[in-house]
Amino acid sequence: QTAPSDRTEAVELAADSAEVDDANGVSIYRGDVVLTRGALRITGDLMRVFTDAERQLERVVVEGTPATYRETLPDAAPRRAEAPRMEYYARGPERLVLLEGGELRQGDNTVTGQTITHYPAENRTVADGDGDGDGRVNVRVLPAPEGDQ
Amino acid sequence: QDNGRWALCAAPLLEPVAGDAEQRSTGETPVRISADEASVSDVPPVYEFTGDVMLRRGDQTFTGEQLRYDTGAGEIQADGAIRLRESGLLIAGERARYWLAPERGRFEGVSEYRIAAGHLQGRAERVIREGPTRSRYEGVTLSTCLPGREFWTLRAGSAEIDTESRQGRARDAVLAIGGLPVFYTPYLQFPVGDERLSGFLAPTIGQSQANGATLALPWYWNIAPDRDATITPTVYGKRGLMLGGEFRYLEDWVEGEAAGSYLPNDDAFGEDRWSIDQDHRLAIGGSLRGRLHQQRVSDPLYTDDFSNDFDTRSAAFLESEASLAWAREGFTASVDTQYWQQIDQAIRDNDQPYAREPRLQLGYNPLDGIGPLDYAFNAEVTEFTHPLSERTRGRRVDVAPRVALPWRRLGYYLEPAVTWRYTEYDLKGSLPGDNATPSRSMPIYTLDAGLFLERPGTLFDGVYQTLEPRLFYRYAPRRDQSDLPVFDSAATTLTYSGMFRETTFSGPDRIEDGERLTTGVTTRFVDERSGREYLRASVGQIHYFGDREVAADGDPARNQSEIITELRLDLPRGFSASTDYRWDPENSGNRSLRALLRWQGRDERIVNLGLRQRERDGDTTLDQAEASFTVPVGTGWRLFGGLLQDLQGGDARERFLGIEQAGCCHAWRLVSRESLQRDPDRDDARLERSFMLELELRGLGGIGDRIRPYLRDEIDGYDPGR
Amino acid sequence: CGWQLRGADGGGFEAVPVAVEGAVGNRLIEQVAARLRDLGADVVPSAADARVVINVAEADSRRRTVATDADGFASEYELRYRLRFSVTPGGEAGPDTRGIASQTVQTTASYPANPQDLQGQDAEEAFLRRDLRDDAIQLLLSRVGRQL
Repeated sequence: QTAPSDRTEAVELAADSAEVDDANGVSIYRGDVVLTRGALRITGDLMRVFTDAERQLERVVVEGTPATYRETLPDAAPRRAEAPRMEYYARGPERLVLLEGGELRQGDNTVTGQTITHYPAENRTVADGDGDGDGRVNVRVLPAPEGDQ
Repeated sequence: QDNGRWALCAAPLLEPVAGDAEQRSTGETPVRISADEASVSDVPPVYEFTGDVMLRRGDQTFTGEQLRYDTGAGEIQADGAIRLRESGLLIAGERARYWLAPERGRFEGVSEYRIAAGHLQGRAERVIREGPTRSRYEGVTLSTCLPGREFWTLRAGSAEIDTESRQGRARDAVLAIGGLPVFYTPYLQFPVGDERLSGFLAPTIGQSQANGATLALPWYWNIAPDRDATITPTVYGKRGLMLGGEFRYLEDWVEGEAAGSYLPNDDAFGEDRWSIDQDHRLAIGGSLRGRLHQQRVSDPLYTDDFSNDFDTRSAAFLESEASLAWAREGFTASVDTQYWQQIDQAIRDNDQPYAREPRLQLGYNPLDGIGPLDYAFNAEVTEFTHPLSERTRGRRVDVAPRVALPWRRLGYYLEPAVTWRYTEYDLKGSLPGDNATPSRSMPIYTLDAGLFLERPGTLFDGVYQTLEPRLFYRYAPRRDQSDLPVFDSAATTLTYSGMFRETTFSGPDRIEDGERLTTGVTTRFVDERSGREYLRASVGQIHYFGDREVAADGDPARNQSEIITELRLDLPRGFSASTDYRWDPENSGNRSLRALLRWQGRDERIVNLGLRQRERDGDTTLDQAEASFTVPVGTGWRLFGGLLQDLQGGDARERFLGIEQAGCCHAWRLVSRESLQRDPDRDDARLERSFMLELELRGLGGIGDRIRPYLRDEIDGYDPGR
Repeated sequence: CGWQLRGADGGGFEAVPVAVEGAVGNRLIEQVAARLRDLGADVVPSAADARVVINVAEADSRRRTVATDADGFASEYELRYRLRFSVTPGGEAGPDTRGIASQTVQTTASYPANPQDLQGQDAEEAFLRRDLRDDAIQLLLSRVGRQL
């Protein structure tokens, strides 16, 4: 019931300033950067957008205090995420990676962890506590009311 | 969780857990999970955690290497060193499948479980939890000892534990003590945290010369909150199998116990042996009291062979009685009857006791007299029967109206009184005189006067002293009482309070005549604040004016009684003493001493010493010393001992020594006892040794054993908690 | 030398409204009431109009064999009478009326066994029980009196 694997909607971008380098397919936006693409909305202080040869969106790297992500879902509460740094891959497969300790929330359920990878198409998320330190993944779930079993 | 019962355990079985059990299933309680890695998919989300996973919900925590949490189904699947911990419960194992809301789940390869209610722990191949309070176990070991220090363990094919009904069941169970299997049972019921639940009580193993090896295995059956029964099969090596039972009940207005035992075809005795001991007590409001007490045994040697209770073993006759009494606003009325069963065969038929069949008593003793006059009326009609028809038998009617003119003030009192005593008989059998219906009617004049003096200042601060001199004058005219029978009128032993009593014989068959004055003084040391009496000492003597014809002390010519002294001492720090000493200034050889000393410290430390001596007309009728003690030794150990020694003959009448070791989950007691054993073909009794060993597996059976009640009777003041 | 009549300085039960209660049968309750009256107390039927309520919770007497003859039959008995009571302020209690926590008084006496004359022994035992009961009541009232 989610969007097809490769999104085709147009990408809109707004920021205080932007440096576009079409030759290498890289553009850098700074200051209140907001990227929206269909159901997705990513914000941050510094965002680097990478496009492929056909100028299609390939990858976005965003940093913020914190950077945020929102995905509205047709039949469920919107999914939100925050992290100091995020990477969004439009293809192969489409995924969002929260780095340096992020948090992903949907309704009352939240997942926090050092590295969280979310696959919107498959509605799947993988969190990793980054084994070296005491980095742990923490999840908070509000159980459905009893009658729901 | 009753900590008192497990106080001897080195550590609590389960530490309290943070969080509130009720919070677990309410809607708002979040489930928090932390892990090294997590992944989530589907809606409603299904989480997969790996790496030191910990799920927390209210007071409940789930840990494991891998854990799958399907939030839609509310189901957890955990793998690898899983552990469920909540208040009062711990289950650790290899795998678990658990449904959070209904608290149902299966745990496989349970290496350890602990249940606080019942202090139970052990291992199981599988634990199936069927709800917050019920759980089933397969291939289970079960013990109330601390893990690793199992004094006893029950290994069972399966078991169920319900912490709500506080009832446990085990099937196909083997009890091992110190690792050694000692007992198998296909089915075993045990209480979980409440010893009043049905279950086995501590078995008692014994050995005695008369009965051989004995094993008693009591089973307690909690029929209803106010009704229970204890069924005790006992195997006697030299006699056979006896089945004993005691039923207890408690209703609003009647309560009682009915106990019986039956030993078919006693090998050593050749016939069946049985006993009945039932005691029913009626109480309706404040006015009606009734009692039915029956004691019957199959043969005179029964109590000697089987009874553990010193009072029962030493009874020369077993009394059965029934009585109904009513009392209200000064009126009293009662009817009672009794029956004796002879145990001491040495008592000749002629000395058999009379029985009251029945006795009717009426009395009116109003609080308020008429103006200054106090009056009272007491009457009794008694039918005395006797097994021998030639003995004097028959009915006695005794009427005793009394009028007094008390003059009472706090500081002194003066009470002149007249009692008119009319007694008549209707006799059968041999007659004391030549009259079958003798009677006697006589007045008794008395004057009782006393002073209460107090002195605040004494040697000890906060303690005041009293001085209570008392005079008691009594005059009764002479009456010919020779043709009156003697049913129940023996001379009462003189006590300080008895000296100031109008009656000197125990019954109305004889009334002492003559004139006498009793003088006495009591002094007390009493605590100012609490009113507690630390010391009471009294001394008194009766002075006779002129000879008497009918004299209770059997010596009508005496002009002075023995001097009677009483001392009661009840000091702080557990020391108390009670001494009665009576000696005869006219050295008629009458002397008696009763001296009891007790020291009672904390932790049930008790030492009792007693000396009892009695001389009558110069020959010693009693000279016995008594000692008993109990003292804790180290942690959990306790020593008991007691001795009843006859100083005249130099032989012991009863001796016992006991040791108890109580641990976290067990207690065993061993008592070696020497008591007098009567033997039909020997005319004197011999001291015979017997042993009792008792093993209490705390928590596996109810509380109830046979050694502690015995010790409670033997050691005055020792009252181990129920 | 400091001796004075009891009650000379007031105090004690003099004219104090006292109620006596307890599930121990009217007979004992009336005995306690009689002794209270001897001490000058005003025995009132209900707790509401008493300054102090004496609750006699339990009265039990027990006979024990304390010496035996050569055949093990009892030669001396000991009687023990035990009264457990507590005191609570009644309806008319003043602010400083204190109660007394539950406590026990105990009296004992011993007498020889007389198997040849059990009726005589029974009758003597009845007398002794009455003496022990009266003695215990006096101990009880002595403790209650100090608290008033």
